[in-house]
Amino acid sequence: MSSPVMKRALLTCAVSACFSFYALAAHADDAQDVSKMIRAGQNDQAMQRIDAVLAQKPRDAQMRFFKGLILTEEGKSNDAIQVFLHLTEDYPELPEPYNNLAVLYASQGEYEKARAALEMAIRTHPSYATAHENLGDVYAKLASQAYDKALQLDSNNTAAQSKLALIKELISVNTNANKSGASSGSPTTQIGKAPVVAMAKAPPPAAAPAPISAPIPLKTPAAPPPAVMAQAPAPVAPPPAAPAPAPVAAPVAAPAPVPVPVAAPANASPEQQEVVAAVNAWASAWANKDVDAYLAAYAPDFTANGQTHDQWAAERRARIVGKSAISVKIESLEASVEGDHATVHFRQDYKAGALVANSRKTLTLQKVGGKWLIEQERSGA
Amino acid sequence: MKYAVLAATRRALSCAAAVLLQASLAHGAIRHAPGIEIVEPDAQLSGIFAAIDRDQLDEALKLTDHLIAQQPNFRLAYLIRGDLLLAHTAALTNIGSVSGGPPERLQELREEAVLRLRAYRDRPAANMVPRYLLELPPDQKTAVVIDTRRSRLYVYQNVNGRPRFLADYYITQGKLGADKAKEGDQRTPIGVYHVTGVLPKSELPDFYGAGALPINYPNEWDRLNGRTGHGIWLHGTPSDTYARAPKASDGCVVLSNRDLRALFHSIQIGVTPVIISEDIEWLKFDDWNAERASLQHAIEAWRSDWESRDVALYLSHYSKRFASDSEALKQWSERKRQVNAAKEWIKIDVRNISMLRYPGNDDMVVVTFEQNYRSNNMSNTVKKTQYWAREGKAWKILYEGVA
Repeated sequence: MSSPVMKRALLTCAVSACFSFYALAAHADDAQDVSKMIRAGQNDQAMQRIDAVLAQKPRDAQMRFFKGLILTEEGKSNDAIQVFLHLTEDYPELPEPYNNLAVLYASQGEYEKARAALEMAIRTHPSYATAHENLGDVYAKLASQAYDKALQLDSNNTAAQSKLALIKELISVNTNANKSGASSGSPTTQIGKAPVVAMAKAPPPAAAPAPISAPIPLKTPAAPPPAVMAQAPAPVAPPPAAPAPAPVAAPVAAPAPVPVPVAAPANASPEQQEVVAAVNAWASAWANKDVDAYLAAYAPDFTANGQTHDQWAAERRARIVGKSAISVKIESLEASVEGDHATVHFRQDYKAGALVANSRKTLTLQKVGGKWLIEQERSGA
Repeated sequence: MKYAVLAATRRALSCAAAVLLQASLAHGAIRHAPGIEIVEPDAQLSGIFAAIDRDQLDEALKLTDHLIAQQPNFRLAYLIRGDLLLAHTAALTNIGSVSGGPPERLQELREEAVLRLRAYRDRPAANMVPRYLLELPPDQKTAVVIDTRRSRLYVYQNVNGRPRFLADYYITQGKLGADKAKEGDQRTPIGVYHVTGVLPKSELPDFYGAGALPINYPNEWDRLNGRTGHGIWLHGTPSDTYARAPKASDGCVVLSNRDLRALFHSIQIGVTPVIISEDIEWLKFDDWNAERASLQHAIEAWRSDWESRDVALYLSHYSKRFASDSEALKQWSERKRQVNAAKEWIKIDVRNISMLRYPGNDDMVVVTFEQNYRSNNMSNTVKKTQYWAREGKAWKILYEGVA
């Protein structure tokens, strides 16, 4: 027999769960409309719509988030900071407001605050690549400020102010809703564990540190991974439709990982093999910092983060070119093909310098004019 | 997904930390006032590197920020902060992984780091005594010994004639190092000196920081050896920096202002010896005792032979190389013979003996004492300085003068 008190407690729980769901997710139509208006540059209209929704649902996270974005775009940094700050207080589990708060702080030169906000973003959502990249930039900026003080350099170098990436969508609110669709459809094939390692050229050898006269030399890191991998042949161009033979790994004494493009298994359909080849080419172009080839792997209307295709492409180019060396490894790849559409799931092991990010990734591809192009790219923990 | 610093990055920093493992934090705590324990910056630096060695980079960063809060102009601390932040995004190869910037300044900070950490790690054990401090007279509270190779100044306390370690500080020396010979050679002198006065902060430009303690370079021995120059001070640091590079002065010994202020409390003007060495030798207590006993014996023989009025015996204590401020051995001997002829009796007391070994290879000791001389036709009390050197097995006097 259950006590009435406990029943009421359960009921309250259920109600509050519902409530918080509603509070988080604006009505889908409103959100879509506002998102479109913002993309179209109709900020005034968007703001009117946002205010109308907020009049009804003052806690609505999505609308407040949009409001913060518009304020940011209009240069009203302090107002935008207030919006995102309150969002982090009301929804401490959402990483995006923290990230955008950090972007605003960084733009004001408040790097310590930016760092704290980004660390919160990552604590709430460890797989947020944008926040990781931003945090890397903030650390670098803080380091350079410290070095300026150490070496008595003029730190008024505003040109070097780093530009961090805003997140333009509250993805973490919507992930639950989107989860179902991906795995339905044609049979998926679990593809071998052989990792794709697409490796860029070896990073330029770090300038040898000036010899210290007194001998406490700090050890150079023992053979950084990129240097080891660089000797292995980087996969070039899309492999042929037939399963690319894995380069025979000469069993050298050193157990250096040998990059092996992920091979489609024997029972894979020709379409699946094509899709795997396309994903290999994409990863290889990324790791080789061949930005043109990398961008060509995406559909011409591909967008992300609420940016236009050109904005997105420019940001990707800047991010990729700015890295000294990139390694992209793909594991546990599953590809399903349905007509001209394909969905690929895999684990992505990304390294750039000391930045290591291991995440699940889902690519949706469409065959256009005989080529498989990426329509959608999603990351999840 | 994991945001990680490559192990190699950690190794790069922790290699320096490994050197410091033996340095314990407890060493660095100095009691300044009852109940207040201030951890000196080098102890904090050591703690930072120990944290790096334990892979606790966040802890290391916290400690660094704490140090910077206490010493806001500590450039080396900023360099380490930069490294710890950069370690999040890139592999480090050295202390100061900064790209760009003047390489000399970076190099200076690296050298400072190495010197501070090494000196902190290699602090002398409690049972070790600097070989130079053979005997401290009762009225002398402290002695200062400087090691230019280690960029370090050590303060010893006189506890019943036996030197006991009190504190040590990072120092800056001349741009071209030690062993001053000529005016303007930008070197720090090597020798046995004492503080001749105090110049307060209020009378000096900011460049000298918390004040200055001039020393008596060139001393008797320097002058006899033709060494020139003047104005060698121990002084503080300008207000815009916590410390200066290891080799940056024109020959002065520069301390951080906090260290200089602490040193002020230990100094007796005209009394406290300041011994500057390129490389301090440390002796175990027993060896130190044996060394001082042999010289004490020689001094006592000199005193009693003088009392005996046997001039040949008395003069046997003087080296062929002997010189006073005005005489060589020949004139000195003739004068002593003349004086002695008129003596019916001589009584000599020596008190407050100080014996300070001279740095360098000369096997030489500066001896000072109060001499109470009485005789049938003359009596006086003087403060005497002698330089004794070992020639073969015997100790001989190279120089003698009255202050």
